[in-house]
Amino acid sequence: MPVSRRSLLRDAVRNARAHAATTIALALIAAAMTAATLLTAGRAAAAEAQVMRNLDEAGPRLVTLTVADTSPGIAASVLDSMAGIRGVEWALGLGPARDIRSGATGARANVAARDLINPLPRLVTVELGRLPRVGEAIIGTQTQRKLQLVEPSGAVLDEERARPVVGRFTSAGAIADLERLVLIRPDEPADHATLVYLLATDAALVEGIVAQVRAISGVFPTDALQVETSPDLITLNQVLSGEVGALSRQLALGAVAAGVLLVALTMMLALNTRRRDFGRRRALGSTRSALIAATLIEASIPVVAGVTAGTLLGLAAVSWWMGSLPPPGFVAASALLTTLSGLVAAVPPAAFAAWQDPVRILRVP
Amino acid sequence: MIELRALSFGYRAAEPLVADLSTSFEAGTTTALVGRSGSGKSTLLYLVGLMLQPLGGQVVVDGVETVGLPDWRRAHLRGRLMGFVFQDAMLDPARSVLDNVLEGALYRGREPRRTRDEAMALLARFGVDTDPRRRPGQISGGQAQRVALCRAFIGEPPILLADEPTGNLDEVTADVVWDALAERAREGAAVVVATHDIERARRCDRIVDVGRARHEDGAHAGLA
Repeated sequence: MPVSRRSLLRDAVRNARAHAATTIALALIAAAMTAATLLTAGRAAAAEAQVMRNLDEAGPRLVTLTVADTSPGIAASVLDSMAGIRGVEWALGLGPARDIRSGATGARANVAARDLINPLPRLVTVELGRLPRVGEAIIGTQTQRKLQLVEPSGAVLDEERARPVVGRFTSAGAIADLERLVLIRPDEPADHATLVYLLATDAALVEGIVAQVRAISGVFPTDALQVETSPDLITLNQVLSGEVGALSRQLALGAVAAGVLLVALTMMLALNTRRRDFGRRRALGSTRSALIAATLIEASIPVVAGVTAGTLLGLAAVSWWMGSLPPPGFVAASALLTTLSGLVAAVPPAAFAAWQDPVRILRVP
Repeated sequence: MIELRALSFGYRAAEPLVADLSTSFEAGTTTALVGRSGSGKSTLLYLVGLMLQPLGGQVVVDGVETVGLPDWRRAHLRGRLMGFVFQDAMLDPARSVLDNVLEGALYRGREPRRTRDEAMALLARFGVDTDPRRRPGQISGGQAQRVALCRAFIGEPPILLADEPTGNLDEVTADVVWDALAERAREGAAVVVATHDIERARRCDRIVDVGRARHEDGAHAGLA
């Protein structure tokens, strides 16, 4: 009759407690392996994420389309098609630029306004007030200063028409410059954009997106549509993500390999001192698979505890050292990898112990 | 309960320890396996205990022909049907006395938590009056062998196999062990004991002289 899983688990937990020296040694090795992974590869990943964030803000993923004033602009339907191109995270279309004046003084404020053709992307945040309805405007942080408004309220004069100001927005990353504008929801649905921003999900996709954009907007005369990207930034992005990523992986693999070796050695030494224990268990009716399972459960307890402690310690150290943390995905993958590595390292010693001849073990005093 | 059919075994094929042995170990009987050192008493016990595969013949346990069965099936049969008493107690030094007794129940598929009362009753029955939370290293050798007896008895397995169970014990403890094995046979178990102790072997229902590859039933006069 097989041993029940619950009994096996309980017995393994008790064995882990009974063999405290081995348990503590395995926990320390797992903790050290995880912390070392985070302090090497994790630190590199944090640095990479920071560099990539900074680089991303500079706009390697941004495609800017500018239509010459003499052309009618990009129709809303074409804008929708561009937004649907594979690899485009979002598309923002803005109408032609025009000057507006302060509603309070009527003076020229050297501030440009553009009509909103479609909804604002997540990089634009309304920090005060609300999104504009038809005929209303929101202002950027910089425009508020230029318009000399204490609060984002009142009105701006748009070609002699007063537009109520209903909020203030900030924009981040590649489209941070939007803060210099006043954005107006036009009275009539605007159907042509003269400035379009497209954000690619990955800098590597920009070239393909540009090709498709040119194909979609092929009706324009060549000189009427300008497509701008940042080829140098794209190259830098790819080089950095490739090289820093490779370095991270090498460091992580080194730390994990050392940990695997230490776990395997510790398990081998610990199990070798318990040969009679395994012989007895086989004589009492344990199958080889039950013995391996029990040994792996016994090893998993300190490994999981060690990986948890190592992760917390490693993150604290990286945070203190770098002032930022590795990406959550990296931390989760690193914890999973070190846990699995620790368990995989325990398999050969456990299998070796289970395949020992119990009779030979029992007959040697 | 256990039937050996033309059983042969040797660690080297040219030097068989057991040759063409046929016998059976019935429920409710005690059988002593005797013979000089190296004659194969313990080996026969381990063959009966399904821990060795014979070179020829068959070991039938509870109606199941075990030769050729995969290791896990033999382990399950061993765990479910057999209790083992070894020459030295073979207790786990890192676990408590109680845990050591409960280990016997673990492989019989019984929930150790539910057999705790049975373990405590067995410890009391065999006069283990120490704190059950103590480690084996904190009790005497005699007490340790009584604990090993409790581990073999827990769950009342129908087969008890003992390999020189009293070899290292004082007379009083040895009597306790032999009496317990005999009592278990009276309760219906098949008890097989490999022993050097001819005097106590004579108390068994049957004797198998392994060295001479024959078995004697009842009459023990010829034993030296």
